[in-house]
Amino acid sequence: MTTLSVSRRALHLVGAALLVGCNSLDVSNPGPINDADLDKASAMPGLVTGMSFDLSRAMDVTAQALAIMADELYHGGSYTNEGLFNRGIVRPEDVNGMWGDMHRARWVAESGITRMKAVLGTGFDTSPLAARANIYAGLSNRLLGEAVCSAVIDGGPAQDNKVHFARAEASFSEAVRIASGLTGAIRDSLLRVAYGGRASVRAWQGKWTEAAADAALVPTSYVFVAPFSTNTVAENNDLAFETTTRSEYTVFNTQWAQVFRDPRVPWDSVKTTSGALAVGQDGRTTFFRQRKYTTLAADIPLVKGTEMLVLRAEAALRANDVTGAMALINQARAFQNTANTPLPPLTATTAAQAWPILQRERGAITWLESRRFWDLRRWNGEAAPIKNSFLETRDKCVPISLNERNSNPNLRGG
Amino acid sequence: MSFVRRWIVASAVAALAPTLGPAQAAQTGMVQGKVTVEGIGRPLANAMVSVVGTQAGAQTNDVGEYRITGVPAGPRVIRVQRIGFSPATANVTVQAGQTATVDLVVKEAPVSLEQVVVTATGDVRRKEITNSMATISAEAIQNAPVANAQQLLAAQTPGVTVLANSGQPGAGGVIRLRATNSISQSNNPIIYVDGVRIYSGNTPVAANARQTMLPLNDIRSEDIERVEVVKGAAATTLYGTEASGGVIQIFTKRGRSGKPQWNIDVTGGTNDLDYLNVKGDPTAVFLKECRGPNMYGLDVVTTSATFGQQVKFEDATCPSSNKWVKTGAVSKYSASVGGGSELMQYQLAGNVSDEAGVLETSRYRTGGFRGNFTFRPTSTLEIQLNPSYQRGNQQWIADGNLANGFLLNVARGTAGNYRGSGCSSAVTVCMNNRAALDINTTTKTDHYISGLALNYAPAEWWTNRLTIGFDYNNVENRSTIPFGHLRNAVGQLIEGDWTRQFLSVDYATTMKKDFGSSLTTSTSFGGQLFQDNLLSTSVTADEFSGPGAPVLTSAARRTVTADTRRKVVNAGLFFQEQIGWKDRAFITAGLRVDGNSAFGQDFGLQAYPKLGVSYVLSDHDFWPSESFETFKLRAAVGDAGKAPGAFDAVRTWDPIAGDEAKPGFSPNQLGNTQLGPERTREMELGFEASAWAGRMSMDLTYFDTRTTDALIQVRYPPSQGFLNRQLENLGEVHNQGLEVRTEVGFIRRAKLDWRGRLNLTHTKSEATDLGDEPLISAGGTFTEVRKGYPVTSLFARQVKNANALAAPILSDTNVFLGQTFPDRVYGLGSTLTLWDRLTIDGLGEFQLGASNINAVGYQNALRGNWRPCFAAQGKMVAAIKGNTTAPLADLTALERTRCAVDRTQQYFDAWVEKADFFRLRYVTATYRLPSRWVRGVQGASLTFSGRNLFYSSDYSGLDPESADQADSQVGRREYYQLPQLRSFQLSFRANW
Repeated sequence: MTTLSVSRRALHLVGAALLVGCNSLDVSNPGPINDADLDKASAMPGLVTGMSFDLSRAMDVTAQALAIMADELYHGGSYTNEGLFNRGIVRPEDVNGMWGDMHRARWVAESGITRMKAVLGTGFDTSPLAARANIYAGLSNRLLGEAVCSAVIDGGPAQDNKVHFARAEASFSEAVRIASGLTGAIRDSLLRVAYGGRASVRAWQGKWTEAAADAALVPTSYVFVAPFSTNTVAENNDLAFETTTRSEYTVFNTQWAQVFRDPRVPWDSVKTTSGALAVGQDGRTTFFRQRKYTTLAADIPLVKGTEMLVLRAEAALRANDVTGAMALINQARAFQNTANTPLPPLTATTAAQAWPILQRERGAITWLESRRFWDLRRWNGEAAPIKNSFLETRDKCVPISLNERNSNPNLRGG
Repeated sequence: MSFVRRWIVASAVAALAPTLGPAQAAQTGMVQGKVTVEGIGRPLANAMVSVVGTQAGAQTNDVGEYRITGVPAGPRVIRVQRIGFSPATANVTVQAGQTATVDLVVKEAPVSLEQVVVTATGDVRRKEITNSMATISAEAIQNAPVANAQQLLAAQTPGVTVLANSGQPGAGGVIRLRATNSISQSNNPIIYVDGVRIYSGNTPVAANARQTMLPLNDIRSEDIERVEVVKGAAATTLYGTEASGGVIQIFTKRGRSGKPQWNIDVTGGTNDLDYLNVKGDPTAVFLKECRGPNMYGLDVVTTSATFGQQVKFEDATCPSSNKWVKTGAVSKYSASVGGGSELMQYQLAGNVSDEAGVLETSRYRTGGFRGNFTFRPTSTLEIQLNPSYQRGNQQWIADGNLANGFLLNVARGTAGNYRGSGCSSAVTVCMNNRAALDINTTTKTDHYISGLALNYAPAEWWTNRLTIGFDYNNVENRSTIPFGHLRNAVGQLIEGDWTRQFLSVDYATTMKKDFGSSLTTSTSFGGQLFQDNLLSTSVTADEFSGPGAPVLTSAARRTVTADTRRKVVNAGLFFQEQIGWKDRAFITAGLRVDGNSAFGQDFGLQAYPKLGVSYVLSDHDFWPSESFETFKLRAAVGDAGKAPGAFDAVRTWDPIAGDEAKPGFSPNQLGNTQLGPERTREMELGFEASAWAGRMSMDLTYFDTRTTDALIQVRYPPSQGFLNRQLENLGEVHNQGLEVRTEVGFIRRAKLDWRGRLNLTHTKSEATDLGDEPLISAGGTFTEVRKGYPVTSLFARQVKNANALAAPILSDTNVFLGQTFPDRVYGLGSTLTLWDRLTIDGLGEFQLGASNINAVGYQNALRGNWRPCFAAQGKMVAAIKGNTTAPLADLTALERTRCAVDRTQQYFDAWVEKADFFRLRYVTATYRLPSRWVRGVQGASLTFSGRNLFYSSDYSGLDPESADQADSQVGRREYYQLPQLRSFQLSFRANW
């Protein structure tokens, strides 16, 4: 609760003059929490919950926008910015929200760690909350590194986007350090997500051997998610809303519209009550509905064992081990193979054959998880057979937002 | 019992306590007579005739006659007053039990300097006022066929801009006095009703309606005696920190001692939208036709097999009339009675009205009562008690930018969201837009105002006034999407409860001294305490178990989306000294000192000074007063302020639920302990003049306003975590303007009277400093504040070669395309009276210089449903198909952008348009019925009136005044709002 007693000289003077009740001078605004009230040990769980919350909010936005930029979904609605993203146009003025949400998630986690150290003292090193906080710092930095063209830290100058991967790696390593000192199920859970997160950011820095080693420590069935809920509107997965209640995004016109009965890329077509094929919110684009997130409470995976398999497969391919790579790819397929949605093994004998398979399989596994845009970007920068041309004539990353450019003294004029 | 309840009960008891009948004095007589206008002999209706030194008085009837009973015997002075005329007096000796006849003759005086107006310090003659103050009289109010107070203010006086947001009956609007002074804070004027400050903003936006109501409209026009409009900071200094947006004072009618005076008003009428004309679209976006051969759009999907062909559609739910709009019925009833004795006077009034819109579920019903009571227990003390209550029930249609909205879906033709069944097999697109009307959205309002005013004058030179006011607004917004709805099968209920309470205590005392024949002084001081309480809760409930009328607990999921309980206090003291010289020159100096709980903790008191001078040149002997009877010069400079939002100074975090419904924190507001109010300093110059026996009058004002320390929402780098902007005192806004009100009596004869009036407002607005901020996004689409441009303006990419027959060339960056609010407003009115019996009155308004965004055109065009684009789109389709015989050569670059079928060529920016318009606000014809037709009454009349009868604009959308209220108070865009309605009304009024 916020209660202020300001300008009391005037208030008291006039109050006395007018002979009104003293209680009329109290002012209050319950609800918002004073910053100083967070400097308590009892506030630490809430602080870390806030880190999770802000990361989920960032994922909520990127799961939609990056999906449009990366051919995971097609824009069939009336939102202006998403229409431009669909055409490969990503302008600073159109990414203000996404940029802000991603950076808030990072800042809340990183500044929260600083606050936790000050409040908890030596208890920080043995706190599961501290490990979690570092995991959120790592994941939010990974999200930024995979999305943005340039890193900007706390109002500083523009830097290479891989700065985020380095910060993420440091945070995941810190999480591993703290979690290693814990015991029980929480230790295993924290270590898996920390290893999985570190594997990916190590890979993006070219440390494929260390990445594969970390990835191997994550069981295939393991999934760590950004949680969503119907508890409050802010906890909703809005991609589910935009593709069910509303028809803003469609699978139609994407490469996945040619993929049928793949449990990793579920979608269907919708017909109106008169039997016609439904169209999107724009009233003209055929609407194919994604079915990966069917409710507002659908969680979005952040780290999962199947991705670790294809990450190891990519490491193997980069080491020219086609056989090993295909074995890992097929291990991932087998994990999600069912009678109704069969995923038979795939074969490739050359790197040229294997790379398209790997790229497609990685795309299927991480579909609508905010990861594809980065994959397309990094593959686009490589030579054949790795090269992927989808982004060839399109914007390849999220630029520094206009709000950041306009408000950051280190960026003005740039 | 809560304070609120105690207050309500106390007021009600006090209101009902007095005996309503007049007490007869033992030794009294009666005075009667007739009031006529000098020179033309025309009877003067609605003039107040009173017995000086007593409370006895009466109002003249339609033939100028009056009758005052209970006049104490002895020599008396009879005085007659009416706005627009010089007061006149006559002496008479009243004999007990006798009737004296006193006829009075008054002069027309459009500029009446002896007229008393109300200021922060008390009652003051107009000649002493050093700034512009407009008065809208009961006469003007009675003539205008206005549905509410907002319409009453439109075009009646210069410097007042009123924009309606939607044509739905009961919908609120935006009122601006002069220009926009504040970039970030409310620019609403402060509003007082009988000295009680009331909430001047809009109610919360109703979900699924995206519109609001304006509590000001609960003050019924038939209850209003007059409205005084004080526009700028130079005049509002003594009102303090909240007053830079100006002040509107409303005074309601009061009873006079004597026999009860009854008034009734019965009105019936219609609302319609038949005038709606979308250029090139006979269906008016399918509102006026929803069945028949015109039901088609174009297939503009380049990959479609039927690209470029017509797409037929049907709406199985189209009404049997083949159109969505209908004629809505209007009925209004009001009655009042006023009277009393020397000791106590009363005025009681009640009203009820029912106004149907032009769509099946659009309706506004309201009713209420008012009681104004005056007690004079001693010759030095007057006690006024003014309770009123108004209840409203608004039924909205889903309006504006809503996927489930009515107009959005109807207007989009083949591309609406309500695809359903029940159509013939001849079409593949089958709509069920009636489902939009199944969304039941209501706003229920309870508005209670109560004021207790004590006027104590222990001596002729010393007056005191204490006013305690309470304004209570309660609003329940409720929107239900029923179970089984076409667009939301499991249903939804959104409910918001909002209570806003203003408690104000004002005290002012004035001491006057006359130092002889030349010099007078008037010393005033006082103070004000103002408390603003806000209680607001919103709950959303989703997924009903089944059909039936739901409540919140009918739903499987219930989410509390907002809960606000906020209390803010502003307190201030003022001092004013006025020096008069020979009753023709006056110098006034004043100072207001304020404290406000919204100021940062490092912030102290705020002082607002003022200085003004008025000089009645026409009082000099040398002045040619035979032909040029009145001329007053005035000049004033003064400061007023605007406080930041409550608690903007504090760094806070939001409580949230995350990580599977666990409690947590997320950054909210950065905070700024140095925060203070923005200050507006205004310099105002002007004159008031009348000539040729009032045949011509003019009130001219030039103002120059500079807002410094302007509160600007500064954005900090998002990479620093706090995404919300933080208020800082950084900017500067400069406004200049000219306001002219002119009245001309073309013909003034007893049997033929023709007058004209012109209200002219020119303003120039500019943001002159924004600190380091390159721009401020003001909340609406393309709506920004930038240095060197009007506040607010629209910035978007411009089609640089708009009118060239060439491919469009767009600017690389967003450029200035126009300002949001008009910079030129002209109100033109005329009144013609024949045989003193038939009066025809009309008022038209030009609003020029504003721009709006035609989102209807943009969204419809890209869906192949904007008929004005069909021809251009046909050519572009042909060109895409390679048909060289139908080249694009005759299409302008603007047409090619607006009507593009290629998605990469479609730009919303191209739909920013000039929104200049002329609207004939109203025309009325009033016939005063001969007394033999309606026996037993003093006066009766029939009035036939029409509102929004004519409209002209080059704006391509439906209504240039429309705005999506949910978007922003300073941003405007037309996004499928229902245009303003045309209405016709027939009223019968009688008094006795």
